[in-house]
Amino acid sequence: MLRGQSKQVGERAANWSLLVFSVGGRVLAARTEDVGGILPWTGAMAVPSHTPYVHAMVRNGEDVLPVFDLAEMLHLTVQGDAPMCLIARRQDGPMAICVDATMPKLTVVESTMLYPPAQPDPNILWQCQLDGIVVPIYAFSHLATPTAAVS
Amino acid sequence: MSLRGQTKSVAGAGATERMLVVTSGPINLAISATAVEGILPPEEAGTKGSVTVREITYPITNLAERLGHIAAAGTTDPRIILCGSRGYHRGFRVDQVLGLTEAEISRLKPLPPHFTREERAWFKGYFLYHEGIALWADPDWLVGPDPGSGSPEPLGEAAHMAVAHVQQGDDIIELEVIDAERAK
Repeated sequence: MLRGQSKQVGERAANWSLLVFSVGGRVLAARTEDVGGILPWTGAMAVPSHTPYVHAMVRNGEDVLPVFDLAEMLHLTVQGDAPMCLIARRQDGPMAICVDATMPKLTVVESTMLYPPAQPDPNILWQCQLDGIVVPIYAFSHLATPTAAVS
Repeated sequence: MSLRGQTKSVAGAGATERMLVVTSGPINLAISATAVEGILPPEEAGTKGSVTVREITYPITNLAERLGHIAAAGTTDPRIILCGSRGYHRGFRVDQVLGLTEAEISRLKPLPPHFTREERAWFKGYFLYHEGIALWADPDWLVGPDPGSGSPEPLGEAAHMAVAHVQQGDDIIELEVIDAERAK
């Protein structure tokens, strides 16, 4: 390993790069590596389904993605006339999540600023404080999967 | 008994599956033409819960009910489609018949793995259809008995019912809707 590289790597690992967005006015975050992109929400096509929170697909050109209804999971309603579409990188493939019209923002927090949620939630990795607001960091990579349930 | 010329075909571009695409509420549903035995104007079913064509009785329900959503009110061009598979027969009220389409088998995609429950048995997959998608119904689920409810008995071998193709465009084949009397 090159001299001086270990410190750099250590600093990088200590910081969490987050995408901050909102659903139903509630501020949430996800790790940037768990987000594949942000697009305007163009509407979803219903798919009859018994899978929790997965009842639709969205088409973007030739690409079709399943829709994960994060708002339903949180008992919230997406706000704004022009909602955004986050592409979440779940372990079984990308999926679309409809979020508030507010443009998501990137931020970096130090790992020392992270703490576990008061109520354990398999879908939440950590929490942090941003501008005085407690922000849960959602685990997009295994959102509402059996992996999340046992982790 | 099914739409004439409905079988899988191999064109120059590759194998295709002929599908009848219908709408029910927000859903475009594609049904393999091999499972479609007729299309009727809704008045043919009257107020009865079934229609009999060539000695085959088709229990009629809203497709919306089968798909688990609320039927749209006041649709402008509803139809009843008569379906059969493996000796079972059912008719469904649909909001609109969009037409026949030749879907390239290479473009038929399975449901994404995020769908993990019974819906994997309900739909064989989907394909891009106009600006949206069409879900490809599994005919055995569509026509077969409802789990946990009174299941229709197999009604015998289907007799032939003519449904004519009157025009074949690039990929949509328009249908002539015939009534039950004329089919007899």
